[in-house]
Amino acid sequence: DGGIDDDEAVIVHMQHDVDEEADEDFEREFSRMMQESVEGRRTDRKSVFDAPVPTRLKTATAPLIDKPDSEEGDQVAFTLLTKKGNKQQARTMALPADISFVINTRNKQEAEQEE
Amino acid sequence: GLDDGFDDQVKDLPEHACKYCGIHNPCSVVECLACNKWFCNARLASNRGSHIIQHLVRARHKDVRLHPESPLGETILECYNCGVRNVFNLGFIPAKSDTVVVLLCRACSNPMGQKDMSWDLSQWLPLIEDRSFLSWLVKIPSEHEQLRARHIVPSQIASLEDRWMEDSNATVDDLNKPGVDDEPEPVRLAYDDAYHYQNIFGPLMKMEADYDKKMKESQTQDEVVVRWDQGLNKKRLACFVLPKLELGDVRLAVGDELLLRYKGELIKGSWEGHGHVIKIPNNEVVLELKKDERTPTHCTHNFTVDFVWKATSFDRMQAAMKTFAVDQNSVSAYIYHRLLGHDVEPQTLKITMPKRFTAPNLPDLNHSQVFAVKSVLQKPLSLIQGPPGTGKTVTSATIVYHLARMNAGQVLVCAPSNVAVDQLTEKIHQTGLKVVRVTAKSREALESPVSFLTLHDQVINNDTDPELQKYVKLKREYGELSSQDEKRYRSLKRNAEREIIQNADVVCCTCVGAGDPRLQKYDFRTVLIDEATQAAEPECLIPLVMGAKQVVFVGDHKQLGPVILNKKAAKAGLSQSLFERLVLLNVRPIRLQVQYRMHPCLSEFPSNMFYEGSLQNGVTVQERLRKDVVFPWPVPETPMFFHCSYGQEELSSSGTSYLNRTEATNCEKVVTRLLKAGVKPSQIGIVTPYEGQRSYIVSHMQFAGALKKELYKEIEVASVDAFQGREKDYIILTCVRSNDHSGIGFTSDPRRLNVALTRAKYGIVVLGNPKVLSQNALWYQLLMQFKERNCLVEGPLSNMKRSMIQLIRPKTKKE
Ligand SMILES: [Zn+2]
Ligand SMILES: [Zn+2]
Ligand SMILES: [Zn+2]
Repeated sequence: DGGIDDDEAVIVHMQHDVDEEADEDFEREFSRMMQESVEGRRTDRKSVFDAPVPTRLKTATAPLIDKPDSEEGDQVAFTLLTKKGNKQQARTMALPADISFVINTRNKQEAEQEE
Repeated sequence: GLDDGFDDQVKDLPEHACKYCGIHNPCSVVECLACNKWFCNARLASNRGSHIIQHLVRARHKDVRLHPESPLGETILECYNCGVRNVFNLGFIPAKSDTVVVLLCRACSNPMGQKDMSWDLSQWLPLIEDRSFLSWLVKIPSEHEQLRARHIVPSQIASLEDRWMEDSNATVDDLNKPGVDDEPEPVRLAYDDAYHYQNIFGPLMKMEADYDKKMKESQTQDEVVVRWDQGLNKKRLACFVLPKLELGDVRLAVGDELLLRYKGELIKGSWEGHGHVIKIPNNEVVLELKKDERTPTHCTHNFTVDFVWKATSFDRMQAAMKTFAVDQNSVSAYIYHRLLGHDVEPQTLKITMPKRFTAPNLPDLNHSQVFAVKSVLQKPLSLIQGPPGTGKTVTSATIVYHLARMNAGQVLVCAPSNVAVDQLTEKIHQTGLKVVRVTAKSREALESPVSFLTLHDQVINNDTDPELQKYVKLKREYGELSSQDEKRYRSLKRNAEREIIQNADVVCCTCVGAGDPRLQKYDFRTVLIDEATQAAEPECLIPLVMGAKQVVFVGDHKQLGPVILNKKAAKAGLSQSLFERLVLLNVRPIRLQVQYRMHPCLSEFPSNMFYEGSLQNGVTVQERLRKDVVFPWPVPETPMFFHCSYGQEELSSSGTSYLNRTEATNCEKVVTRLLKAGVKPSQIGIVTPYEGQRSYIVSHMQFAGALKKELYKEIEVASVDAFQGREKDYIILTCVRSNDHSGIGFTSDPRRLNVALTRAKYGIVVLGNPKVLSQNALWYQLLMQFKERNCLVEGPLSNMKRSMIQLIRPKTKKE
């Protein structure tokens, strides 16, 4: 029909009121929260993270998602390791291609493929 | 029958909706594990951070969980190594040579002491960036989604967080709730969002509902005398006169429910029966009883009548406002923002214009009508202003014809009143489209010109299902079915209803009727609302929130608006229609400009006063002169006059209305003259703004009229409001107000005057006190026009003389 399906095409001009006092208030609280979590590190005695990367995942992982048209831009499929109790879980997630470690990994993979 | 309303569905936000703004896309929300509330990752135009971050910071909560339906599934964000859950302390760590990541806290990602070199700890990437979650972990809602959500401001967030300390279930709406004795908040021109809209209109509509309920329920009438009758459908009818109705103390409409009770010596115990009003000819109420069990038809006296108030229509309005806010698919984004008065770039629909604009079997359109049809078809939202007699119904039907041909789904056609819906239904049916008229169950027994198009009748006459036919017959013969059969009958009926609606091109119902449970499963993308200026905003919303993408409002904001009984609510703006608000928001109505009703001398004043002189006459003087009717018009070419009289007004016996005996006497004389000249009673209308005068005239004409009583009985005497949308050959307007100081009340509303003056085709007689009326600026202008045309007269009808009264221009009030 007549092209009225595209809700995203609607252009709305909105004005947003600024509430500087509330903004500053939030700013202060936010910094405090961050500060506390950074400082918390010093007192905690945590074991060093030294787990190996599970090898079995290497084949399970899809290398690249090529979605140049998506609104997020280029994306690469990564596996996120999580734990549920003591059970390890692996989930696929799409990461933007422009994150520095994604670029690194990608370059390495390409180099390996050329070898 | 079944009552409507009991299974109306009210849409609610899901549990996982952001407690601040209502966004509920599972990819965009997370749950705070400390308080089990959900928040989104939206950050509407600010550097304050997203809603979830604002909550975590203000409430000092730290742990969150992703939604089960998000890409990562139900996941608690915690350190892979030590299990710490503080999101302010977490980040992603990639493997050195693989596409694998884990979440680690800051402490665990310290590279000191690391032996295995498979993780690149130097690349730690915090979860929170720029005061929101990484967008690829928790999606940031689109700008469009954010615009459509509730617009909460930081101060509201702060107060809400404060409230949650005491009451964990508090909502944003609770922040805005007015105290019991507070004045209602007035309507606005524009609203931040649909929640804001609901927060304004919800309480106003509730005030109106409470008032209506109180009024209705306090109107018990004792000592009613009943005459028993039987309808064509064999149902029991009770006929009676209600003095309260005659006095104008209460409003009663066809379809309303009444409770009739008997408590007397003629039967043992007591009896009561519910029924619906099916007609009110000359103030006699005809009530069709729902059941005819032990009906004391041998009794006639000692009955009591109670008014039964129904919440249905108000409930549907409230539900529509809620749906408007909560359901993203209720209306298109464009319609959403336009209705709320936001600044939206205009849209034009890409459509193929029909070659011919006139619809089959409807009259050819004039220039301004064609223009209206053309513009409407290519716009998602339009207003058509139809001044009196300009062919609003034909234009609307033509538009609906084209819309139905151009679009796949059914067109929904509504109006606030049943009369208007029926008229439009009939015209649309003429074009050959498949039309179904959905009426309230309480109106199914009523006769109307479009009975054969009602869903109810189409189901009954549907001969494709013999089993259904069997039950229909049984029901007709025995009145009731066994519970087993009734169940089967209902299910067959529902199927038949679905089939009929699905096959229709157009569905017609009242605005409130659009909330009928039988229509709730359907989407209506194209909606036309006639008489849109006579509906309160929430009423108009009911048909809109069923998926509207293209909307046409037809009405005339220069004629009467919606009737709001509660004065406070009316004053706060509930009596302003959506159409009118859109006009104030600079949506330009397309005006129909050629009128086909009034003698040109009758259209002149309304055109100049209310339509900037733009009304053209589609009828000639010759077409509107009735030479056969001998009547003492002061100037025969201009069949109108204002008759001056100075008799005092009186308060009516109810104490809430006015009457004027002099004008009533004059009215009877004019009527008698018209009848003697051969005018049929049905072609005469007597218009009065006061109920007191209305009932006085009805009885006075029968008592004092020189001709047969029956003739006078057939003449319609009604309020201006009741005549809106209709016409008569001759109109007599009695103004009633005549006093030295207390003003002209009702009569001063320009829109009411416009309606009163534009009902007549061939002639108008105005009865009033020129001295009193001319104190009003508009009436002064009207009286001057009568005077200039030698039509301001006084004296007996047989010997009227030009009045020599000096009219004094009223002082304009200083602003
Ligand atoms: Zn919380
Ligand atoms: Zn939110
Ligand atoms: Zn850790």
